[in-house]
Amino acid sequence: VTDARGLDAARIDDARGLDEARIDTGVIAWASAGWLAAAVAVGVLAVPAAAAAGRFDLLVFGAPLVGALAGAWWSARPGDTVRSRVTTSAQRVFEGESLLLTAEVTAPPGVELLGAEVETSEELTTTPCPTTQRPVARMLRGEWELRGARRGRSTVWLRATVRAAGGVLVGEARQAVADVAVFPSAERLGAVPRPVDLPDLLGVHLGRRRGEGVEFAGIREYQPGDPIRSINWLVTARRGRPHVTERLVEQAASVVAVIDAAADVHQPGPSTLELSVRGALSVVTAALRRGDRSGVAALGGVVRWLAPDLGRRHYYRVLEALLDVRPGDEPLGYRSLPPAALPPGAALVVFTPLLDDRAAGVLADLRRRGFGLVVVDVLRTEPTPRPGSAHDAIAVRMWRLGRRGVQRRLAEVGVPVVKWAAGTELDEVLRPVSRRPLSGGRR
Amino acid sequence: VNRGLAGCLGTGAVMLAVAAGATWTSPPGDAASRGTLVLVLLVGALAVVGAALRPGVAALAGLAVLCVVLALVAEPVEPVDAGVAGLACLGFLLAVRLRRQARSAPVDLGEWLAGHRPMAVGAAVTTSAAVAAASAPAGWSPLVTALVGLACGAACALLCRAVFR
Repeated sequence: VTDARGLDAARIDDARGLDEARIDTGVIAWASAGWLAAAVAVGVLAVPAAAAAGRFDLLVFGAPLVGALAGAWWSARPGDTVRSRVTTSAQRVFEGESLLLTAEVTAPPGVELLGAEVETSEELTTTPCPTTQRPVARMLRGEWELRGARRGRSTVWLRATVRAAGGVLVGEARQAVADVAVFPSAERLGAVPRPVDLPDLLGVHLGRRRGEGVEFAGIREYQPGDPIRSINWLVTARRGRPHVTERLVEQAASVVAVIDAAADVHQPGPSTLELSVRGALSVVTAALRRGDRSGVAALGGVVRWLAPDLGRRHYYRVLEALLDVRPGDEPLGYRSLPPAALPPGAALVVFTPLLDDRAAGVLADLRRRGFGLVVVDVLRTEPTPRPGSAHDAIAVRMWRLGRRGVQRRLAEVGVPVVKWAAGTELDEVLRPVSRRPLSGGRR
Repeated sequence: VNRGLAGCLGTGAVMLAVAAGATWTSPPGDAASRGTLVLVLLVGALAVVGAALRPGVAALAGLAVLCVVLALVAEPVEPVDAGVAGLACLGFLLAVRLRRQARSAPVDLGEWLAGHRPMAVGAAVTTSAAVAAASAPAGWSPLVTALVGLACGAACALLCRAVFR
């Protein structure tokens, strides 16, 4: 069974990190109930008024109520910890997938458990399941469905509300019960750009080099050192001299997905950085599935990189690295990367909003250094002129001209720029530039 | 749940009956004040029924107690009667609270009563002290009256401690 990422579902389940029960205790922060201040205020006003009016019978009437409150307050020695036993069906999910969190909350003796809620950050959305029960005998058992909303790491908090001393004291206990990683979702790509010059690594691509392989490349005269099994006996018999069959070597490509994290533009749908991360993961997944070496590099913000490699373990390393990609304000630059991150001859698929002129310079520099490049423009919006402002419209036109100039500069050095528009799948965007290998070499 | 409903209605009826009895036996006022008293107690009865049916609405229980307070304000009563009326109000409020908790989840009555024992003890102590102080002859000085009340409260506290040991 394979999923949309082309990976074994069973292997993914193995890596989700099925959780065992986690037992925690949360400290209750006690406070007086909100109505107590109002009751005390009424009492403070009513007692002098009744005494002044000589109505001591009213004071006697209020005495039991005051005494009950005082007795509850005086004897209040509630416990200060709530115990929870939490299990999660997974610790790692992809965007759009769900996990089930089951919690058993137990309040200490003498404390009334009112309820429990699950709180998460924006990476997860929480929905209580109908199976969640009401508190019974100081214990509550509840289930919540947590759905991955956006990429990132999220701490899941359990907040229990309690009451004690006959309602005079109310308290809350908030405790971290789980850490969940939400991996970005990836599209399934049918084709990924690859370079012309393939490194000497065993793979699936037919390169220009001749050697051991299956695909026919040509016939030439036998030379000392050629293996006997490569002799073409039909041609040898016809020409009277030994000839051998040449074959094309099957080589692996190196593909690196580069993310421009120098800016994160919010736009309808995913932001530019989220779109870049999803695109990078799609490229890496497709390349790994094809048998190529694939890596990732995030530049401009928090620099994260992984040198091209193979295998399932590498795939999960890439996922973990992409979780930490954050926007920054540093200009795009690759000088801080070690050479292994961008190996010579690798095909680079760059996801960028192309908002910074310096980015175009860096990309052109990479192209001059011999990398085959494809730039995917992830910007899906543009500035909106303010109504009634004539200057804004001119500024927007100049901005468009500037972007067109950047694309022209890149085209002049042989870097194709494709736009990932809204409603378009990345496969449609990359397929045209994947038909032919990306030209590399120094220019 | 049905027992809780009956408890609410019962304690509410006791509360209103104590208030009505105390005010009715007090020195009679004019006819208008009696009419007002009847009206207030009727509203209180409706509030008791409402609080019993919907214990989650705290305003209904508060309205019932407020009606008793208004009745006592309209007609001065003896200190003992006022103390009993206060205890009846407390009983009604606790019954509503028990019913509210029982509607959301099963309640162990023994554990619940044990948890509310400090409230009952506190109410008994302050009520006895207040009744004793308010019942003191008018000629006594405030200091002596207070001492009598404190002594009575302390005796009640000791008695409660001996009973609940």
